[in-house]
Order: sequence, then structure tokens, then C-alpha cells
Amino acid sequence: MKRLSILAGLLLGASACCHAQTATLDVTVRTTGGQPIADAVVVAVPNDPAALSGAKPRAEQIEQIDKEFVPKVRPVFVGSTVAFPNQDSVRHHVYSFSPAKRFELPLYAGLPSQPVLFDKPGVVVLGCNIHDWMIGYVYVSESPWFAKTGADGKARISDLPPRSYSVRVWHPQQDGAEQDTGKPLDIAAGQHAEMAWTIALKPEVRVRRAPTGGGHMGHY
Amino acid sequence: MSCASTFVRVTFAAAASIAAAAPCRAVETSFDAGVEAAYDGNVTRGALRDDIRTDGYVAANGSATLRWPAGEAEAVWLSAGLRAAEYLHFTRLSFAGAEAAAGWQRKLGLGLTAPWVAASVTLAHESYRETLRDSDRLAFFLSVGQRFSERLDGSLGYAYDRRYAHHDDVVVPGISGAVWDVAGHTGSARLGYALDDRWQLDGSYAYRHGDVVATTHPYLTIFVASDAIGRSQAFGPDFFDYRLPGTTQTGSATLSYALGDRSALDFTYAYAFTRAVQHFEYRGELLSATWSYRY
Repeated sequence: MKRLSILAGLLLGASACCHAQTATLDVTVRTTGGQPIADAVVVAVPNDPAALSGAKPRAEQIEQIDKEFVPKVRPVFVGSTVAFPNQDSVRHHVYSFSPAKRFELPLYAGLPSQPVLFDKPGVVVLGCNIHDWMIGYVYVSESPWFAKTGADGKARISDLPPRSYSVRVWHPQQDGAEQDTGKPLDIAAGQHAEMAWTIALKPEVRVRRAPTGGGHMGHY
Repeated sequence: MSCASTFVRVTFAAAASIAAAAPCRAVETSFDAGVEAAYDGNVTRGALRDDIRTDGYVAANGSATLRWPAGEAEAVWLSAGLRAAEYLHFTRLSFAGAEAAAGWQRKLGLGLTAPWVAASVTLAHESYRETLRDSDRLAFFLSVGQRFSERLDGSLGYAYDRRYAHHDDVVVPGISGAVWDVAGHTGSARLGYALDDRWQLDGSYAYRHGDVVATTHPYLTIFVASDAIGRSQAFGPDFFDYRLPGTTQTGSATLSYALGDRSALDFTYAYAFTRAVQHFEYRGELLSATWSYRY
């Protein structure tokens, strides 16, 4: 029992030690009108590219539920794969024409046989050739340190190694270039930093909506 | 008629065959409902001030649609629905009807801006309080369209409509009484523009060549020009329905407000100008507000 307590103490100590060597960044993103913005991707890119070595890509997924991409925005580290399981009873035909990744998953139900590899940084816009209103985004990040804002417009990047970064924000309806949002961040071990952005959004016009009126047959 | 009915039978049989042959394919089901309130500025389709009557109506419709994928970018569909309208003043214009339709559509490529083609056939039965108007309808539609950007889309269409009157009550010996037995060919163009995430503006123009029906007091010019005459029950004993060959041009604008991703409110203004034989002309305006819902 005593040995177990010692082991637990060592593990806790090691964990505290690791956290003390990293930092946390809390970000808030709001519209120019002060409203919180959901689905904004915040990326911390180290100024020293060598800091990216050793970061590992992951396997992610974007589902299709009720004829929508869920989540609508999925940030991934470059080199990650994304599976597109179709949870609907109808079939989907997922595609992208984006320079960062051109691909097509012809009409399918269930889970496609292969996930899609996203091996180039950039924004990949997803569509469905059957349901034109469906739109989704894979944000392929050059840095492994990123987060996505929730409905409250807040995001947290934990386990940020202490060094200098350029922090940027991207959103699908952003009115302006992502690069223009860059802000410097110099963070020390154990530090808890906070940053805020105010960005202008363009209206989202590709939305699902009921069809417009069916005319007036027979009024001659 | 025989050609048309053969086409209808073939179309419905083809759609039914695909539906039966592909039971395990994912069928997409949707339900549509709508309620409309409208003002018709020339419900008689009269040319002279003395003949023009105005009225308002409320209408409701509901339908169910089954859609089967028939290929990578192709689908066929079947739908069935009911609709009814109640006129506020000329209540004999009120009707109830049932409608069935079958269609095919194909997208010519991949992506949001790929053009598409579609064809459909609609069969409907309408029962009016003025029994002279009881009829069956048949219509074929062909359309091509394209979304040019996320905001702008457009389409061109052709339609053939045929209305088969149930009654042929002869008023003038030697002249048909089946005044609601009409047919026409229509070419149309439509443009839609999304103003923002809620508002959308649609504009359309249609040119129809075929039979038109005007309800007026009797006078010689229209009597000579018409090829069918019926006694109107809807507008009183002094009014007669006259069928004439002519053309109708209709321009309309619809401002649509999305209440959510399944329902919308549409506000439509339509202006129609008809020119028939013997320089008989009439104009009409229609204002309507429609709530539509799709599930």
C-alpha cells in the first residue's frame, strides 16, 4: 500500500512537472458587434520551425448527420487523416476542389473504405454533390498547437511549449485574410496568457432553406 | 391525348420500376407543407373595368416526396399531395385537389456550380364549388439550371399544360361548353439571388402560348373571338366564361425570408399581361404571402 502511494505521488509529481514546463493560452474571438464567434480556429505557430519536429498527426473524423457536416469545422495537424462516416439513411457524395486537398468520395453510405489524408496546410472546403447546402471545412494546420472556439467564442490551447509564436485566427466567414490576424506571443513555462480578437464576418449565404413558392398553376 | 397519356404511363412505370428494383438503396423522404394568403387583382381575367373583379384567397397544400438515387449524380422521384383554396368573396372559385408527380433530375458534373437538367410530369384533379371548373390537369416540365455562385442561380424551363374539363354544358348551340378544356406551352426563365443568410430574391419571367379564359359580361367582340363559352356560376348570372387563344406574359418577384433551415416566408408580386385574338387584352396582379415548410 505504501509503495502504491509513493508511485502515485511520483506520477502526480511528474505530471505537475510536465505542466509546469508548458503554458496555456486562452483566446476569445468576437464579432465587431461584440457577439461571440463559434467555430473560429486559433493557431499558434512557433517562430522557430524546428519546434515543429516530433509533432504527430492524428486520425480525425467528420460525420454527416441530418444532411450536415458535423462538426462543420475540423482543425487538424498537417499529415492527419479524416474519416467521413455517413450516419444518415441517405447517401452522400463528399468532395473538395480546394488546392490544399482535392478529393471525391463517390456516393456512399456508412463508412468509406479509406480515410482522407490531409498532407498540405490550408483550408479545405467540403461539399456534397447531392445536398448542395452541405458545407464543411477542414483547417489543415501547419502547427500542432491549435484550438476551436465554442459557442461562447472561447478556446484554450494547453500544453504550449514556452517559446515565441505568431498566433492567428481563421473563420469560414472571415472578412479579410487570416494572415492579417497574426499577433506575437512570447510565453514562459507555467504562464497563463490571454488573447482576444475582434473580426468582421461576411454573411453565410449557402444555407439549407425551404424551397420558395411553387408558382400559381392555372392562372391564365 | 393518347401520346400524352402514354408518356405519363411510361414515366410513372419507370419511376415505380426503379423504386421497386432498388428497395435497399437509401430512399430520401421529404414532406412539404405550405399556407398561402393572396390577393388577386383580376380574378375574372376581365379586360373592361366593368368586368374586373378582385378577391382574396387562402390556400394550403401538403405533399410527400420519395427520391431515389439512380447514379452518381442522378435521381428519380415520386410525389403525392393535396391542396385546397378558399376564396373570400367569390366562394364558388374555392377548390380542393389532389396531385401526383414523377420526375428525374441529373447534375452534369461535380460541385455546387455544376449545371443540372430535370424533367417531370404532374397529374392533378381539382374539384371546384363551381362545378363547371372541375377538371384534371396534366403538365410536363423540362428545365435546365445552374448555380453560378453561392449567391446566384438561374434556370430555364419549358412546360406543356393541359387541363381536361369534366363538364361540357353547351350554352350556345354549335359552340363548345367545355370552356375549361385548355392547353398551353410555356417558356420561362428564373434568377435567384441570396441577399444574405436569411433573405433571397427570386425573379422570373414566363411566356405562355395557348388557351386563356376570361369571364365577362357578354359582348360581341369576345363572343366572336371565343371558341368555347360557359355560363359562370362564380360571378353571377350576367357573367360568361370565354375561351380564347392567346399569349400570357408573367413577370414575378419573390422575396423569401428563411425562418430556419426548414421553413420560409415568401412574399410574391406577379404581374400578368394577356393578349388574345381580336385585340382582347387583360392585365392582372397577384400579391401573395406564403409560409412553406420542408421536413
